[in-house]
Amino acid sequence: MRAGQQSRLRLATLIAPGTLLVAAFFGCLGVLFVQSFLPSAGMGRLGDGFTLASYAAFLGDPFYVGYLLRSIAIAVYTTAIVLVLGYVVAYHMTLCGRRMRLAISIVLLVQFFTSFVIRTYAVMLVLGRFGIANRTLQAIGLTDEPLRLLFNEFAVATGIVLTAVPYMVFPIYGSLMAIEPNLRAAAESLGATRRRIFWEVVFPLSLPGVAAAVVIVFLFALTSYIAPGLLGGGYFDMIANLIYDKAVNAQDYPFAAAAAVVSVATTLVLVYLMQKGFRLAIRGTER
Amino acid sequence: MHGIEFRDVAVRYGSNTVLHGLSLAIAPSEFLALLGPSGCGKTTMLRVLAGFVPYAGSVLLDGRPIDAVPTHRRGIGIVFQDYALFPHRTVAENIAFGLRMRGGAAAAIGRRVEEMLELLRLGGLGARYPGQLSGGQQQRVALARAIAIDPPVLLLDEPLSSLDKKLREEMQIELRQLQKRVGITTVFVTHDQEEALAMADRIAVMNGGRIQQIGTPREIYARPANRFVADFIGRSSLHPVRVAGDADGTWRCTREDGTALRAVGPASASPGAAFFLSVRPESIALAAPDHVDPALNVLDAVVEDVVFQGGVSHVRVRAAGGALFACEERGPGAGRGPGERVRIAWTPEDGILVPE
Amino acid sequence: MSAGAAASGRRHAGVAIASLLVVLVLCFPLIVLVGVSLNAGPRQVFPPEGLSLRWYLNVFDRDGFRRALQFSLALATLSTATALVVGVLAGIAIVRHRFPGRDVLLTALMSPLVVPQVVVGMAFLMALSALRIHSSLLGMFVMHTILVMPYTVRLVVSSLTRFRISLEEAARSLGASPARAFRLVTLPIIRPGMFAAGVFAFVSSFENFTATQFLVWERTTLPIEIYGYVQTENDPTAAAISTMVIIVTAVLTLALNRYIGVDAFARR
Ligand SMILES: Nc1ncnc2c1ncn2[C@@H]1O[C@H](COP(=O)(O)OP(=O)(O)O)[C@@H](O)[C@H]1O
Ligand SMILES: [Mg+2]
Repeated sequence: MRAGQQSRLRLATLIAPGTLLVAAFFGCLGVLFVQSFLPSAGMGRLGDGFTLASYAAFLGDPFYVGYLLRSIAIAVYTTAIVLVLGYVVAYHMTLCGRRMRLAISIVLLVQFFTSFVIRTYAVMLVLGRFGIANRTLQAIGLTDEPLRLLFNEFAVATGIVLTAVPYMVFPIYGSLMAIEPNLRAAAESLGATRRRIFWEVVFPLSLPGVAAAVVIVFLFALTSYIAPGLLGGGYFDMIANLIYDKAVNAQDYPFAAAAAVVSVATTLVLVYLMQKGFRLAIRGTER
Repeated sequence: MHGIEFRDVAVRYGSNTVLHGLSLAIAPSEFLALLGPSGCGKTTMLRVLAGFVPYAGSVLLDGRPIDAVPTHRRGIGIVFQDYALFPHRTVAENIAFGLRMRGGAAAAIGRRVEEMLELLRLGGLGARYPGQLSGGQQQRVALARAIAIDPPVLLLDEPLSSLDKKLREEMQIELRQLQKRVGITTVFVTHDQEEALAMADRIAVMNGGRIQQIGTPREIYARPANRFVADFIGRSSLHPVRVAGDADGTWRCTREDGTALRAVGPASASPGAAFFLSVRPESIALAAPDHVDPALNVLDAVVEDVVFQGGVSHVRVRAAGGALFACEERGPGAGRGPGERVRIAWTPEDGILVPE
Repeated sequence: MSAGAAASGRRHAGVAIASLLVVLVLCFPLIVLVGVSLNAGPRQVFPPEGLSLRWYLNVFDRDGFRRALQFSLALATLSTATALVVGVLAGIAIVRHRFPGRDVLLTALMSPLVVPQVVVGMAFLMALSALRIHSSLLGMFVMHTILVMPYTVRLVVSSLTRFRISLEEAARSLGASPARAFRLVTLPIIRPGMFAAGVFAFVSSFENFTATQFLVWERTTLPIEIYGYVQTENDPTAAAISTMVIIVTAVLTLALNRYIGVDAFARR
């Protein structure tokens, strides 16, 4: 029994710090959740009692709900674009030589590790009024005036796509590499063309990686703050910008909290549906 | 040299009892093989001895209980099934590891390591990493590391199972010679009966967390204590019989279809008792269909199939009543084929009655 | 593999061209950024109008960047070290012990990855103000530790899962106490995994912007400072400090490649 007690004590020591941090995390989220039901007294102060006023204010106003819908829409199509771009790179990495693969991996990892603020700022430099994009367009005579490439939806979407590609490549690459090479050979020996091998063997077997990556990128895109902040310049704010603005500038904590709760709930439902869809698609390909 | 004793050792994982109160004594300098099918608790026995798992009961080393002694003070040498060589340490560092834990002078440790490299014919490999060695070499390094600390007991968990057949047979001889030379008390786990028969002083046959029989290889082979042992060792034919009475030192018994046979068995057997008749393939002679010999057990049979294996042919025959017997014939066989009518015959002393 | 790969590489020329184009497009903004930072003039243009390092010198003249950099480094170091310790302890418990709530604990430790950053930041802001804590420094440290913890937990758990327990048992049978066996055998073998975990954690703390911006009333971090600068100023100073960060990142990535191999790492 002494030994049992000792091992329980050891286990408690091992999990205590992690549990403490987890508790702090969920404690903070709990505060947010609770405050979404409190009346706001303005300037960051809170009233007493329980109210759904903040939820009503958010959900009842198409102006505010528009932020959420806009975010979902841009997340859907940027994720689709990123999927195509990322898949091409990942697929290429499984076909090319070792050195090329290493070079691409390193380029992607450097991107992966570089701050979003910096990468988004770099996109801003390209798209700006005097940026290289505009100057090239003018030089080849496609336009006389500088185009407004920045501070609109196009700029925000470009920023999201360019920063998200590395997140898409790695999981897909992993699942492509996990495909038994003999499967391709077997398909080939059975007379399948390269196109059919890809669509009937390679792609279905890479779906687990695709599913994981799509969820990551979709979440990332939907909750973007930096891309709309720098590249949208206030002309194309997304839901995260609204939440920050309401919390920090308007100091309306209950409203910001309610908006956060609604968008997290919406996100969870969407991710759940997505995973369900992928699971259906993957089921047929599992061994 | 050192003796070991297990007293009523029981191990359970949750609700799953893995060892059911085993008792077993191992004599100083003895080479004991633990033999049994996979999952029967052999590794668990070693882990009890090494102090890796909590257990009920007691383990004694030289008559003194060591239950309260943690693994690192038991000083027991272990060769793990996967060798467990430290991949980030060289061969020499691996062998020196246990010596360094005991804190000796660097020079003394160096000498001991050299001695071990010499003993296990690993000369010149001291600076290599385990990943750069062949399976057989890794196995010897694991052995060297375990015996470098001069342990009172050496435990080997299926140490040869990952080697190919030829290397395995070489290592069996080498290991056995080394054990005799060093005189270290050894517990050797294997699921390979031939390995156990070839190497051990005594064999403990295990099944389902219980010891079924302990004895010398010859005893185990010639006098299996129960149906499991008879079945597990060799390729015996086993058939249910009932004792009918005794006849000059052997038992008369009857098969289900009424055929009478004679066999040896426990003196305690009494008429009416149910047993299994075990006959080894090499004891059964295949004879012409008209063969008669009142001193032997003789049955009519039909050849089912023949497997030629070089020195011997394995012939399976179906006796009247449907019972199958495995037989062996030396040499290329008499060109027997399925469907051939034969008679099988064996002496009463080669038929053994074993309990369930 | 190589001959076959080369042959199929030729056959997949379309894929290769498309992929390299994508990689080039991804790199292009960063190339522009580096070019802009080298401008001799005060405008953020590419190609640069004359080359100079004056904006790099300007970085060091500006107190804001220097102090933010110092603080970001300290914050990332501290939260990474803490998260590594927490990750190793929790990882051992999760891999080596069976206890009720084990899966729940693992899920909970990983959960900061899926909660939007803006929600995390706001939750900490609200909690601090509800608790009437006026200093943001402790909150920032705790928040960053929580945000990077999933990386350390995940990599430690996967290293420990792959670690063969018999190695540690061998060390103990040879006379090493459990603690010594862990230090001499387990730790060296899981070290590459811990190194990768540390790099991931450090980088994600160092670059965090969205959650951090809620807690910057005492000290700002480098991403916050750069974000603010590029919104209000219009000279290449931000490009200069960004280039320096990218260079350090690239060196770190190459070191990672040396130490554990980027390919294994990319696949995880
Ligand atoms: N850590 C464990 N937890 C639960 N059950 C275990 C554990 N280790 C072994 N067992 C069970 O104990 C039984 C005996 O295992 P073991 O001693 O390894 O068998 P052997 O070495 O004879 O193949 C097996 O049924 C196995 O499933
Ligand atoms: Mg075993």
